[in-house]
Amino acid sequence: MTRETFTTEMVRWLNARVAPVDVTINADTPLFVRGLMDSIRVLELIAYTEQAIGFTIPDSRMRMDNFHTVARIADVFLREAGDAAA
Amino acid sequence: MLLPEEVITALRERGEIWETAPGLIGLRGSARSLMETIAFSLAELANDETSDEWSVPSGISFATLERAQYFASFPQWLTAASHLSDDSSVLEAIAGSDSPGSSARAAMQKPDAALSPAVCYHTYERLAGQSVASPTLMTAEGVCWRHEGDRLAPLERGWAFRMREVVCIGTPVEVEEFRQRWMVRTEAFAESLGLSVETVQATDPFFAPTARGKAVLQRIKALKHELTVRFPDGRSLAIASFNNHERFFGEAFEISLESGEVAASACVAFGIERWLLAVVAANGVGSEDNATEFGWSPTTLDTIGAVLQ
Repeated sequence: MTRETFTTEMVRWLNARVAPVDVTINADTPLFVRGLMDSIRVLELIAYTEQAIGFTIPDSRMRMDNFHTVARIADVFLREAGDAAA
Repeated sequence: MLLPEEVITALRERGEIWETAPGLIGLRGSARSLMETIAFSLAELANDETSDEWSVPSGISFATLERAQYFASFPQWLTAASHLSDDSSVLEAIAGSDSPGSSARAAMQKPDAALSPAVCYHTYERLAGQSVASPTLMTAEGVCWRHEGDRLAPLERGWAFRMREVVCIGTPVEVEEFRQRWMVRTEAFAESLGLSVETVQATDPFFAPTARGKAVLQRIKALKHELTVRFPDGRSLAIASFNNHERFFGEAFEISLESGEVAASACVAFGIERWLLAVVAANGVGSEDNATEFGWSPTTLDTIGAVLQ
């Protein structure tokens, strides 16, 4: 999966599933502010990411600097998925 | 560094610790003295930052725990406060029973209150619906009750244990600064007692089914850290925790700041029996002959004595 495809699809999914009516999420929107993520949605976000990249994310990688935005998730985990596939 | 079991065995042989039920201990002698001194020193540490010392109730209503979503987060620990019926015929039957303990157990009333599982809930209950200055700090020591089943172990994991807490209510920036400041202060205090410690990121043992989501959120946002000591067999034990609740309690208890915004909160918590265990494990239990001083060397005593004044 290309970075562009991953980003576009995740942004579309977040706007459909997570964003309140008055908020539009884009690739650079901080995901962990203004209550966008609760304990259910964060699991859905991780499940979505894991399904897209094809591996389980260990607890040690559950850090804000890895999940800050969709762009950041793509940068961190798509690269790791690429490394794993190489 | 001794193992917890070695400390407990030595203190038990000296008659300084005993259990009345799993997780419920008594202390006397040098162990009791040292724990009181540690408790006093932690109070002093807290009072350096706030003079607002509270004496909190030993029980808390189910209504307050509901408001704090305690039943969804940690129901596995809850210990209720019940009492007997005030019906004289019931009381007479119990008093005259061949096994009054069993009769009383059967006649206990359904509880509306719990024995406090943490100190800081009392803060939010007391400030509910109010507007407070930012930041507002308080501190209190209380006995907390958490039933952890077969994990209970003397000093290490009590059903009832003493907890010192410092609570900060303010803006998100203020409460996180408070938490970061206390991580540094607490680590320095522990090291001054001869403890080799490490501050690590942690998550609360939330109850399923929402456990993983809450823990993941806590981990991603780095909302909880613990100060830990490590025993020779590799086990680690948290002796303090540093918790950022964001606006959870401010929203749940409708606490606002003078600016009108919903309050954020953070707390730092010290398990006092665990500090006693860590200090004795690190410095030795001594012998029966010099039990009052734990047999520590003059240098160790001087160092610890200077801190634990």
